Amino acid sequence: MIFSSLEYLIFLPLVVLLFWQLKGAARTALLVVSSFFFYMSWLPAYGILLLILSAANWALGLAIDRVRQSSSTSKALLAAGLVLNLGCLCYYKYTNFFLENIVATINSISHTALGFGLKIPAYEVPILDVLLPLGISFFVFEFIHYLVDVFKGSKPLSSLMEFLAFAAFFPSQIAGPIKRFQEFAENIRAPQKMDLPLFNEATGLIVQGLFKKVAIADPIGALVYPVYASTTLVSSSDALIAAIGFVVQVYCDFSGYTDIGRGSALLMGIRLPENFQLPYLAADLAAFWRRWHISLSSWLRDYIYIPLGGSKHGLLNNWRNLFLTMLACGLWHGANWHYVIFGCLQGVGLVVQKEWSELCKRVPALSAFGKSSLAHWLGVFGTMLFITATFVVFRAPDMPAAGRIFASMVNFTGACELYSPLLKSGVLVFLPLYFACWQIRERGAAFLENSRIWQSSRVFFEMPMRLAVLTASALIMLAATPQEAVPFVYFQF
Amino acid sequence: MAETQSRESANEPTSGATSALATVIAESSLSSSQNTNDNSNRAAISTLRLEGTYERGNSWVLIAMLSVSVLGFFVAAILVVEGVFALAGIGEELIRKDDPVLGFRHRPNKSVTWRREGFGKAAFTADGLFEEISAGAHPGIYRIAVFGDSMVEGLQEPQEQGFVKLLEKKMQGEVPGKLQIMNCGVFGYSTVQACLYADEIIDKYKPDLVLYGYDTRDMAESIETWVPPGQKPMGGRPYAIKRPGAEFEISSEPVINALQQDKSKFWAQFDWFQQNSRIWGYLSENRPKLSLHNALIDAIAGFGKAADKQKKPSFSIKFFEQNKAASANTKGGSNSVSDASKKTLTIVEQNQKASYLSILDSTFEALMTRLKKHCSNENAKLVVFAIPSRSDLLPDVGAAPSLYGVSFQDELQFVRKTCKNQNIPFLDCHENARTTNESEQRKLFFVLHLTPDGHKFISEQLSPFLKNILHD
Repeated sequence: MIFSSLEYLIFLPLVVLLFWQLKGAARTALLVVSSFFFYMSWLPAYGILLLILSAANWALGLAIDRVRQSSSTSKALLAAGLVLNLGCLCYYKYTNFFLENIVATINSISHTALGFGLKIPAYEVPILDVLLPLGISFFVFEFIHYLVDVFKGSKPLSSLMEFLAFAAFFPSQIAGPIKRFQEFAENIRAPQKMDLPLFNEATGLIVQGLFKKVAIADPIGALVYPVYASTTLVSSSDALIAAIGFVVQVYCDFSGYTDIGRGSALLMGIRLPENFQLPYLAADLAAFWRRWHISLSSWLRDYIYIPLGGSKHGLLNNWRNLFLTMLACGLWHGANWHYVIFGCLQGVGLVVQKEWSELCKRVPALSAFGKSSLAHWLGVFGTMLFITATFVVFRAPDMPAAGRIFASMVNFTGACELYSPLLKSGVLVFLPLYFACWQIRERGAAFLENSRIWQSSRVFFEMPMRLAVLTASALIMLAATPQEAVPFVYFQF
Repeated sequence: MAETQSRESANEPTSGATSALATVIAESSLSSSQNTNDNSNRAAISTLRLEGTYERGNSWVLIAMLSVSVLGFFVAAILVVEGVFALAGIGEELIRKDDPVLGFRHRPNKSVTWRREGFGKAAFTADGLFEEISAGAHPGIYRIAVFGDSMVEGLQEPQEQGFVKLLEKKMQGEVPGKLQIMNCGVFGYSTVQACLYADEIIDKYKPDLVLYGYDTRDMAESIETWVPPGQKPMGGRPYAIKRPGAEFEISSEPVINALQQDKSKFWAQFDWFQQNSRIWGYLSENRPKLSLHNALIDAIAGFGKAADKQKKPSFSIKFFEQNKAASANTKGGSNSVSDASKKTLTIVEQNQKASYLSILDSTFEALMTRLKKHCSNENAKLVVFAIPSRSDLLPDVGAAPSLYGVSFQDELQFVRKTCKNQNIPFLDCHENARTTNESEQRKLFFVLHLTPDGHKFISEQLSPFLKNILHD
């Protein structure tokens, strides 16, 4: 069941209606049942995995809390929890990657040895037929956060149902945001009261997310896909369109998903953390990662970067910590070398940017220039250039393909095959329309709040205007939407 | 404050439901303000005062103002969406306009953005053509008019990439003066429609050469609205038929009957929207996608009138069932027509295929004879060519390769035969496409329609063929 499908548009109102009819434990039970129903609509078997893993983590959390006085026992329990969660993640996500690379290494050695007259038999390790459970990277990170925080002193969730609701909560189940259990527990125990502003905020987020997904991300995805699917004989213009297109697609797809998820949760009075804060307007790479996939970045900061030592313990250690954190970020996205290289590039980029910032602080001329708006916009441009280039590595099926895309960009040959599909997709209209609506909303809201006419006759305008915007959005989305719902990009992670 | 107002509303017997509505609005306005800031709280208070005034006076004023506001915003939203659709080229595929003779024709002065299969933009002239052409005599211009269905029309790509324009470019200089080729292809046209349209174009634009592109099932579509004598024909296309031992018939009666139906008259009232509204165009063209059924509209259109029980006749039933009825009669069966009409045709027997094919053959010959005669009267040459058919070349597309047992190959046999009998030059582009390998054939088609490669292929085939004819 995809957020942008008709099934979800039926499922969500039903759950929301029931949610507000129920109270207390029954409400939590509804969240658990509906979330497992949602998850098991993909593949029922993995619902059992999620259930077992959740129960194990809940029990481990309680156990850690109970033996808190004994440092060694609680450490052992935490270690067991980490092994369980990371073991699961590695098994489902990285087994084949490791096996393939071990076999490739052995075969490479045997090939080299043959040159020296040594005959080592070539190996063929069978590839395991493992299907990645949806959202495993997200819920495993939530479980690790839970165990570590309980270990550090947070009070665990005593109710299994509450924990199951936290683990399987459908609006954030498949692609985040990665929640913090303390906030979530408070939210489900005392959801925000449903009133008109909350309803408006929630439906606004859902419509905004749907628009980003169906009117922008999906049509651009259809343009980007063929270029990355066959990277040979790609013209320069097509390679550039695909590279820039993916940057737009992945943002609209992922932030669209988050908006729909946050809006859905908000309809039940539950506020999920923000995941994006206009990341493409960040003036440097560090700011980009503070504004892009915020729940993952903050998780990496809290559970990898800071435990590794953060910015303390000297320059080299700081560089190492940045690099390792971003390496983990790359590897989290998938079991493939291009994700590893993507993470390494981000790590190197952060180190270089950090040292550049330090240099700017030390040199007065650079420091003065750094405060100018020109420097800001140059920073935005440079960051976007770096992000666009590294997203080619991220999107390409492998490194040779990424290399071919880069080579195509600088070949300056070939006809633009994407010209007609680009016009057909309608994104050249929908994207500026989205920007226009965003600006109107940002600036218009402030203008209206200060307008006496609006204030005195708000009742005549507000609801009709919202209805009109919803009608217009629905019509545009209907026209832009593809025949079949397209899965979100981050589902694969 | 809202509670006080509610009490006030309850105490006022004349306000009733409208007061309650005003109260709900006031409450929602207050609650929306509570979470913002002091400014909006003040605004809410002033709003309540405003509503209080209306409540004391007449709550209907409040509702009237709200209705005006809803209507105003709704109209604004529709206009915005129309603008967005116009910029994005959405909802511009409603290109047909009802016509009592042809069944339908291109909508005059309509801009088109075609999104199915490929992508192309075009604009029809007042005559439904792709470009302005001067009517009447055209000294210094050698004019060719190309007729056919969507394969000739070529909306799936820019017109410059269609074979008509490619041919025009390729063949310039082959005739004294300027060569002008008119694209007279119309989406969904059968052979009879193309012939009737050709009559109109020949009379008005005096082409020197008429080129007809035969596509799959053009003849089947030409006889589909025919019904046995005594029944009322009804359908979107005119028919032509030449039955053994009977006169050649060509008639637009099914179209006229269809246009007189309540449903058609009902839709005709919305012609302005069909012509100008892209939202209307989008919703009309995407009814299957949106799963919107028009039963409700049918019910509205027929409200208060006796339902017209006459359904659109299907050739598949009427033609073969006449045979069945005859057969039943000879066996002494009674009430045979009604019995036969209850049965649906599922299996086509060999003798039925033969009789069907024979009707198609004789009708095509009669149509071409008629068209050739008209061309000769206007000193124009008639040339026919066969358009490559994907359903025959690559049947994996899903379209049935044959209809009632008649394949495109069968159709081409009678087309060839007629052209030979009538001394009409004929080029079989389909057969030439068959000689290429499968990967080349796949390049010719999107799903059913021709890609720019397909159009290029046809122009390359037609160009030397027409050069020979022009030089004769």
